[in-house]
Amino acid sequence: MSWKPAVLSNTFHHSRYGDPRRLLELKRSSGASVSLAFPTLNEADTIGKEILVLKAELMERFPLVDEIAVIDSGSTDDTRAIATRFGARVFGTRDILKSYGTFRGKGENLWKSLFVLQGDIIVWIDADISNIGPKFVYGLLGPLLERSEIGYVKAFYERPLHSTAGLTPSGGGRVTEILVRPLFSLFYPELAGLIQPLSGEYAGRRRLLERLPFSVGYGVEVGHLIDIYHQHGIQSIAQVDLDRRVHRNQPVAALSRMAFGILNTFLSRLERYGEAHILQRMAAEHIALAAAGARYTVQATALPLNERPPMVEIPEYAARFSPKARAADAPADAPAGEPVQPPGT
Amino acid sequence: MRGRLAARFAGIASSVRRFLALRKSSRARRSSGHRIEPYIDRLISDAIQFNETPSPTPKEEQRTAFISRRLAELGFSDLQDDGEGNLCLRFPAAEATQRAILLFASVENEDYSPLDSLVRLSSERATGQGMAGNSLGVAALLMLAEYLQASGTGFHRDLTLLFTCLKGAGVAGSALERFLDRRTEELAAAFYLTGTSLGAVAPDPLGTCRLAISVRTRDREVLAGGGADSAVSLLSSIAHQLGGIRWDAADNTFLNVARLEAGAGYGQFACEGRMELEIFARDTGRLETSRDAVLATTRKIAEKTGASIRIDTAGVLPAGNAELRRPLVEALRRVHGRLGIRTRAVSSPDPTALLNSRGIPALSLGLTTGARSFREEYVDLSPLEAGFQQVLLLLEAVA
Repeated sequence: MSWKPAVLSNTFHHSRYGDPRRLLELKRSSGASVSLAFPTLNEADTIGKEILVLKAELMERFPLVDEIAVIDSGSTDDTRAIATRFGARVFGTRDILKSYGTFRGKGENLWKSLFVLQGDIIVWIDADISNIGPKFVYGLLGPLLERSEIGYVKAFYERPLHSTAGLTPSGGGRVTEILVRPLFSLFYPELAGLIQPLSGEYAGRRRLLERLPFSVGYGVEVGHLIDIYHQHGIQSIAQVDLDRRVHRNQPVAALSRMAFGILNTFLSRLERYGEAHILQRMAAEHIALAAAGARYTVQATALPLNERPPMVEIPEYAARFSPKARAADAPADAPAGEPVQPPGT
Repeated sequence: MRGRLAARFAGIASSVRRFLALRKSSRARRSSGHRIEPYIDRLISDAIQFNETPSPTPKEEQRTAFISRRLAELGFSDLQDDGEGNLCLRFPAAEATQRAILLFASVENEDYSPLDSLVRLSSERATGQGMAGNSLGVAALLMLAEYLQASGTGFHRDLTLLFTCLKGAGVAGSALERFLDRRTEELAAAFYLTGTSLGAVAPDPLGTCRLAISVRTRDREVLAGGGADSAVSLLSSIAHQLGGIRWDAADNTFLNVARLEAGAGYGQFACEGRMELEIFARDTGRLETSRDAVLATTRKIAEKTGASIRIDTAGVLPAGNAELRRPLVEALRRVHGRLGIRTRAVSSPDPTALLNSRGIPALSLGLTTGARSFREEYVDLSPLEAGFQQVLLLLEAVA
């Protein structure tokens, strides 16, 4: 088969962007500002190191990032205190756009972060990375600063499992290989060229992100990819090799709930874009069975398909981020940055 | 209820610790005049990233690449690599001087683990295998270079920052020893920067010799009764007999069993075992005599049982020279007094004795407090500012 997914032409290694001075120059010439945000829920073990290292490297030594924020969904451990200690702005999801209520889920943190972050480019990094380094951010920023036609960049990496037996060299990405890649292969072969479509590290231009609906739960990444594919085309997506990511390994039961959420979002997108028609109403509960001796009990988890509209449709956001409001916010002596248009808009 | 009370007490204790640390660092700031607070988080960041860089690799390439890259990013283009495992950065004095000051840190981590060396960071401490060892020392040297460049601080003597490797010291020859043997500049003083032991001062460190003993007894079935000794019983017997020896009248020489690994199961054969011994002595001559005695005794015991034995010297550090160290010890005590750091005298072996044996006054400087144990290794973050001020004030005193 000679066909190759187009995204492979937009596939880079982080080392391509390892010269921070070059990236700074690209950033200055683009006039774009950059926000880095961590969605968190009880990440006290890892959040401090992520903020400290990225702030020291990418805000103080080389000011590629203009702000670092934590968007927290109600941690009960020291996540917020540690994040504050190491210099991040900390927001609670409940305190952002209060009148719109709050859902539980990573997608909610990401959607609400658009309202409080200031940057023209947003970088989202999961807060559970044990081997954080600056490449996680500059690798994602590089293609956006270097090529104006790219609007969204995903990370991929080796994912050694972190377990009581130590590091197992491979085995991550089970939901990708068993669920998402087959679905993409069936419906969106171009997206099957993404090596880790579910990776939690990605960056995008605000003008693109604010026009995307956000699945609140596990389907947020898949939803983004399908929407961007339809709205802007595969050429607007890039992926970057970050070498290796060490993180917690999730049990199969959690992966099953994740797969439920992803599949739910996937099917909703097929309907939305007229690519399939679901003939019956789908249930909103994930059902698992727990064995206790010879008896089995049903464990139902409600995972409704909650979705936030594109942020640009929220009046408060529009008022805050309209070109006029942004110009008024800009320092008097700083030239207003050339607005970075997402591809296809 | 009890849990809630305990949590509340822990919270109060943590706040008190933070308050005391803050007061101490404020005092350090006031008394030194160096504004290094903005650099401390960068120091921790570099220490973490360095700690997570694999070691050992051939010639510690990955770790020296980290150092070279960082110094290049800071704008230093004159880093010298001697090809022997040493990276060297010089800050010349405004006027030519006869003798320079050397600050050095060691890059290796013999306990590196891909998992356990990943650092966890709380508001108060950084935890990870290797953090209490060399990583902070290397990060402090990098930060010193950054600070001296940014602040324009200069000294009356040339200053040399050396990133070296202590592995093999006293046996195969370490990178540090090769640097010292080939140097062309005279050194007025030298300081070894390391992780913990802030406040510890070693006026007269012991010498030490580490021996690795491997035995293989005649083949023996696991759980078989009678017959030949197992490696466990042979090594235990050696340890017992050596432990009973009184090495000198003043008890200035003693022996420690650092590790004993033998037994059946877990990939181990009953006939094979390994033991590591450490001999400590107040003077280098006594150290050598004691080592010869240990070798002879061990071989004799093994011969009696018909076991084969191999003894390797794993490392040797000479005893320190108290006369050479005295002016530096006094200067360090004064610096500690200014910074409110509690000084305590220790006599544990010190790599700077390698420099003393070449006639160079030298001391080790701990940068913070912390712990290094089998289960957990951590460094406290709050004392780091005082630890680094200590280095700057000491340089002002001697350079």
